[in-house]
Amino acid sequence: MKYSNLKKQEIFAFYTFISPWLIGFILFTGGPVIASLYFSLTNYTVLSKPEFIGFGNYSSLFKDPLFWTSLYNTIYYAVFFIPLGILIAFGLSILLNQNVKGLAIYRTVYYLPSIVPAVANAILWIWLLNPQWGLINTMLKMLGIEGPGWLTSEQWAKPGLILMSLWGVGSWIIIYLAGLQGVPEQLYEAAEVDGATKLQRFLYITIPLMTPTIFFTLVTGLIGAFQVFTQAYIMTNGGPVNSTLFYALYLFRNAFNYLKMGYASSMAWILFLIVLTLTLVQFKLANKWVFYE
Amino acid sequence: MSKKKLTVLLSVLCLLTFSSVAFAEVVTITFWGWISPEWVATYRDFEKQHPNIKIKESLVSQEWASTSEKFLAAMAAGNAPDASIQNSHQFSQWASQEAFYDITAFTKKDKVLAKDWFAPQWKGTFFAGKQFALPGITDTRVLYWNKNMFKQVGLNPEVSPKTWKDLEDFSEKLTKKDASGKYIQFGFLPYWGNSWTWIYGWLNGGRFLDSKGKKVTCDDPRIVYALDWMVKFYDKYCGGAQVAASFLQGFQGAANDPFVTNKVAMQINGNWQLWFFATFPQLEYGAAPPPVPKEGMKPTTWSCGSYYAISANTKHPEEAWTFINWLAGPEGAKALAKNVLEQRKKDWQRQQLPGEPVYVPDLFNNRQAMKVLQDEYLPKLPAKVQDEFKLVTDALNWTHSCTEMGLAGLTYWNEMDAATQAALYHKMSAKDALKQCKERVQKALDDAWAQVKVK
Repeated sequence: MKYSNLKKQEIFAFYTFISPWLIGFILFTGGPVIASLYFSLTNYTVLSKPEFIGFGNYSSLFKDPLFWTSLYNTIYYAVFFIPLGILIAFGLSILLNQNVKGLAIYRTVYYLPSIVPAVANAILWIWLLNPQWGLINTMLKMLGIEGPGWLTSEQWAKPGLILMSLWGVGSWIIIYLAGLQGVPEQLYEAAEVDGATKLQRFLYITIPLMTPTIFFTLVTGLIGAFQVFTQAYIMTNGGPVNSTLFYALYLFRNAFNYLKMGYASSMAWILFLIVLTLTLVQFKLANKWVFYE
Repeated sequence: MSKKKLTVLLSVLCLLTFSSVAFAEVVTITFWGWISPEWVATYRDFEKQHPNIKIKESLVSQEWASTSEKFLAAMAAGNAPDASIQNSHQFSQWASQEAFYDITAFTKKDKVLAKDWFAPQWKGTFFAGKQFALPGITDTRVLYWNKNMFKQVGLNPEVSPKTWKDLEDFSEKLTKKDASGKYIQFGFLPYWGNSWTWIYGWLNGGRFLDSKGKKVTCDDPRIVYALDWMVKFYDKYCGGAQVAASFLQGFQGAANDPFVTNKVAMQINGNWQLWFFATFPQLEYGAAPPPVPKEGMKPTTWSCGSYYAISANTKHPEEAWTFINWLAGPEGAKALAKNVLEQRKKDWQRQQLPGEPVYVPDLFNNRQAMKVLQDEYLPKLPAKVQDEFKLVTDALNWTHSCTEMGLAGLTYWNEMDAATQAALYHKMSAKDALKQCKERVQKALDDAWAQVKVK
């Protein structure tokens, strides 16, 4: 290919400007990623040299009941959190897209939780989920419902953590708001002229035009949900009875508490494969429902 | 040479000699430990006594249980600190992997002898006959009972439960429900405080590992019996584990402590509670050895705590040794005590707490250090606290050490907790839960032994 001098200069400038990121990425992310692939095939305590054992880690993983428990817990979390998160964020963004007084305040209020630091968030929710004096159970009590023990209950600990995550969907709201505002006004006007009802306009204009945005949150949400860690690490430490032992938490324990870095690396690669497969499937399915203008 | 010249020459020589002493090379030791004001002041005290050594401290970790991540990363990168504080759960495994410097030669040279230390933790610092650390501050667990609550239900406040049966009988009286059947007060919660299943296993004479540390034996019938007793206790006197857990969830924050606020009458907890209770002058409580399963059995308890280790790759092993030997011994204890008390005076003023701040000595594993602290600080404590302190100190002689959890100590710890929860929540029988625990830990233990590098 032949480039003009100006073009060449531009290309040079482009790579020069992004080089800090590029170098950082290759060194500090790319390097460890590749290294972890090698470590996943070894017995590696970090304190001694890795010892090559082929697929030994992978085969013992499949026999490890805690691996399956942690995978189940994580899938449970993802299955409930992602659809609920999308519904709530989408619903709120529609409300926040109306022309009402004090809109800026509402938008701030709903976004605010997502910038609360994870640890502060966790401490706050320990209190909210407090079975006796927590705000949630107090409110349930007003409705005549005896609230569960949340974090101390095997059945309710995961739902409790999901509830907590839903509080932080502010960043999705922003994305949906941007999407909603990108829907061309003239489409609505044309539909109105043709006599379409509000519901029809929503179903046949808003939703189709929002599908790319929903798809985006679905993909990123899935990747994020499979990495859920902080809440369980701080609030429940995996309990009660391993009911909140998420995949990333178990991986972390193996890597840093049990000196099984090779084992943890193989867990990381399995997680990567799972997420990769699910993402590819979603892209495949996307052809059927995502509408690009 | 004229006399004058000679004088000049001699004085120059003199100056040179002295200045070389004064400017002797100062060695800086990096130390990962605690960095709260009393500790930092203690490091400065060390520097004053040892002008040729500087301590550059940094925080080992916010969370005691997770000190290892930071250390592991540093080890992998080859820049571990010269010396560090280590927790005893993981110590053996780290030591077996040659993470630490063998200090056996130093202990011989400086006559640091086993008889000067409390045996359980001292033994824990060895692996394969070599010593890799000095035991620092430790803890012991005892039974505390709330005398006010005893009085309320007509129990003699001066008589503590001696056996597990006593715990049951007392709890029968001390546990209360409201009109709707909701629990509002408990006698005793076996898994609350700082007891863990380990203590019941040990109290019942159970053994968690074989004598070589290679076989996991948590399915020992005596341990199964202990866990089974806990399960039954929860079901009968606490409305089940979940009811108790959600009751306790309500009490967060120090001032809310269920023991202090007369909600739970008895607990097994650590010696550090003496500090905490001292801030509640209205609280009347007693301390006793943990109750035993049957009359006539010997009480026991368990201890974790800190070890001071030197990293294997240090360039200044001698200076690091001087430092940890000082820190673990009487000099370090004296300095720390003085600094803690100063700090507490400030806290007392800031929080406007009632009474005078006191120093309840930390439990040093070094006998001389313990004696120095007792001589100086014990007479200043209220008579009651003195007795309790004698109990927790005496326990240092008959306690079990965390290092008895073996080479896969942390896995064992987590799995025992998981097994206990599984049993308490009736997911499995105590026997099956412990059997599963045994299988899982055995695997980790085998791996850990396969990776041992110390010959």
